[in-house]
Amino acid sequence: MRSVLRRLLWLGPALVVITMITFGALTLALKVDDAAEGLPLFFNPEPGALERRARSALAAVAAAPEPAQEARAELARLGGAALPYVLPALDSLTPEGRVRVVRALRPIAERMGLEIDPSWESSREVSFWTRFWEEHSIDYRPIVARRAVLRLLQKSTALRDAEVRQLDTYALDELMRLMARVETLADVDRVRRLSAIALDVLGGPPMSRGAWVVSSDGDLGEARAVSATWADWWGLHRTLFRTYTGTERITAMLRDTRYGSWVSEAIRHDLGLLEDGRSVGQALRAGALVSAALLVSGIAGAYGTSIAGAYAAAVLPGLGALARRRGLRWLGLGFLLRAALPVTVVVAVLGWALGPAVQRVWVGALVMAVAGAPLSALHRGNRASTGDAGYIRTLESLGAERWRLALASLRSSSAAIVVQVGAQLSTLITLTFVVEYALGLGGLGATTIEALKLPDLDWLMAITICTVLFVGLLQVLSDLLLAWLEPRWRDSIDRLGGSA
Amino acid sequence: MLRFGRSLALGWLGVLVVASLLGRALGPGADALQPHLARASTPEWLSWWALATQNTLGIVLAATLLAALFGVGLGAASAYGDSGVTGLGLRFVEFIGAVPGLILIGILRLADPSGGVLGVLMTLTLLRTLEVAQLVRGHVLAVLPSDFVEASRAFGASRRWQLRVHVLPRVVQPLGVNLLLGAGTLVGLEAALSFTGLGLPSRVPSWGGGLAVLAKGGSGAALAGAVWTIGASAAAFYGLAVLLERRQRQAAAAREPAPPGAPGAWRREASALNGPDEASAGH
Repeated sequence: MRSVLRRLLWLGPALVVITMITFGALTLALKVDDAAEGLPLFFNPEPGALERRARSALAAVAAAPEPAQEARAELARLGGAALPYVLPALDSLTPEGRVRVVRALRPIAERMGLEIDPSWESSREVSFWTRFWEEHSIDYRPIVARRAVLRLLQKSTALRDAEVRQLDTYALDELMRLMARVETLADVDRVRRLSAIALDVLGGPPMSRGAWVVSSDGDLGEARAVSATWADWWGLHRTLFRTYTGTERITAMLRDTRYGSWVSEAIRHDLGLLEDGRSVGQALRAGALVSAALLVSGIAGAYGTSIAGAYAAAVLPGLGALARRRGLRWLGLGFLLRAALPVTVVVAVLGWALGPAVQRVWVGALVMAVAGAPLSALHRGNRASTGDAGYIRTLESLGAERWRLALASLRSSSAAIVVQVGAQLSTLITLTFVVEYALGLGGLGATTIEALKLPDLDWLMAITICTVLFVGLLQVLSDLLLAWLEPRWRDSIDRLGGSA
Repeated sequence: MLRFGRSLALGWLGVLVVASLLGRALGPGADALQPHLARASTPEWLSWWALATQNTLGIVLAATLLAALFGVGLGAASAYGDSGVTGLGLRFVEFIGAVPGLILIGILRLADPSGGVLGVLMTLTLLRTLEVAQLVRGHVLAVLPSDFVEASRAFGASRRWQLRVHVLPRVVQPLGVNLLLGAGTLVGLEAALSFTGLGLPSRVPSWGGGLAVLAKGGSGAALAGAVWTIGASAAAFYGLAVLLERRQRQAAAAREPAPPGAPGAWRREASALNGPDEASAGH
């Protein structure tokens, strides 16, 4: 019992480790994840690298005699958030460097609505930016940005709108914070206004997937979807537009990673989103019933066959001799074929012969019940040795009836199959998925196979975690069952920390 | 009957081996045939079959051999190794064992530059390696506390000597049975993976890939051929494993008298003293 409790308590930390291993393997296997460019996998030693990136882009633009396209693009992308590090440093640059930098700031000025004429002389443009910073440096503070966005939400005027747009990407943190909560119809308008500004700041949708703006007649569901899309994007890109200090920096070291973003997304969207817009949790719940029916049928088939075989052999002692008769030896060959025949072959033949009529859960359950045959063969070997055990011989010598002997030996010999079923669960799950796919049943199998082909990270993560957790829990249950069936094994289970 | 079954299994496996060796010669130009297998003529089907046999059997045998090699090493190392490392290894085995093979292969396949061949081989090898390692570890742990191993240790025998003389010979026989059983399982697993499109690439002829195409609209005879190939191959490996295990048990029983208290010993003693009828019905 102690070991069972220990294993249950370990499930939590084990789940974290399992999600990390699976996520790492899947991310490395998928190779590319455009949305999470540059983010480390599990640990971000430098979260909120805005200052370093801005200064580095500034230095590259200022130093390069010819246009440094990458650095210019980086400056434009960092936008208003980079201005507190770029504009104060203008004085320290060479006159040529200053000119190159202010030219690189033109896309930002355009987004911010600043009136810069491209025909201006460079010295005038430099002095414009210098003056701009003298007047507006006080606006580039978190508290001012928050007030500007809140004022816009209280009453939308052109002036207030311009105030927020002038902050450009510096306002993103506040925009995202205020877009996050969508509970009532009043929030729909808020999300519509804020998402429109955020979209203008970024110069268009940053990714093709997802809804980025709420339409004029959008409802609560649409607003929630838009809010979720922005939240997902911000989870991956926040680190580009922010700086962190104190404890927030320590949290960001774990949060601003690919794994951290996935965890936030999984919590936000009920384990993630599928290509068709459904949440993974919703799809899991919809398919779980079919898959569970097939899996339970597989387990029941394994137990049922072996228990029936054991009982029949014990109660009808002549059965073995009958089966060994020359004329009935073909029966043995039949059982062997049944045990060896791959389930895929069975479902392929059924599908070919019966066509769409085969798309029934009960057909799948029947096929899965047959799939447990190899386990019953393992049980037979154990039954033979249990039959010779001392307590069975004692019972036999005391004149116990055959069914009592069968029951007594069945309990001991079933311990072996409990261990085997615990260890073979993942194989049974694979068979379940294949049967569902082949028969066209709407369980978890078909979605998983499609997700593997696409590939879909959210679904694969969810299904791996669910199956590993399920197998872990069933192994704990099998330990309990084992301890009940065979008390002599309790010490071994406690010592080893589990049977598997 | 047993002899007939054994001959049948060995004969069928012999046919498969010959087809594998001559696969390229028997099926020239059959590489691109699989997607159109439903409309293939009999000679085309045979060409495909020879090539598919070569590919499938190649993968199954390669995975079995690699698993035997790695599994024995891993199992012996985990039995002899430091308890901390062993514990970690066992947890890893538990974790991998808990992930369904279908998902495992899907993940490995995504990282496979060959588009599926290496992924399938790696997954099948990994799954079998873990099973073989567990079997070897169990047997090594069962043999190590034996009196004769203790005695050899008392005489100053090294670990390597014990392993070579006492442990490995006792592991070889169950390992043979396990590898044959495993080969049968791998035939089924390859068929399942290729059937779902997650196994060998569709352009590579394989039994499972052919089965998937034929099940969607092939002729009855062609489908029966594919079904027979997969079913008979899995059954041949499985049957040989059962026969080998039975033979090992018989040989062991004939070689050494059962010690008192061993399973079945009391029946044999009673038979020797009273005759078989009394022993079986005497209570």
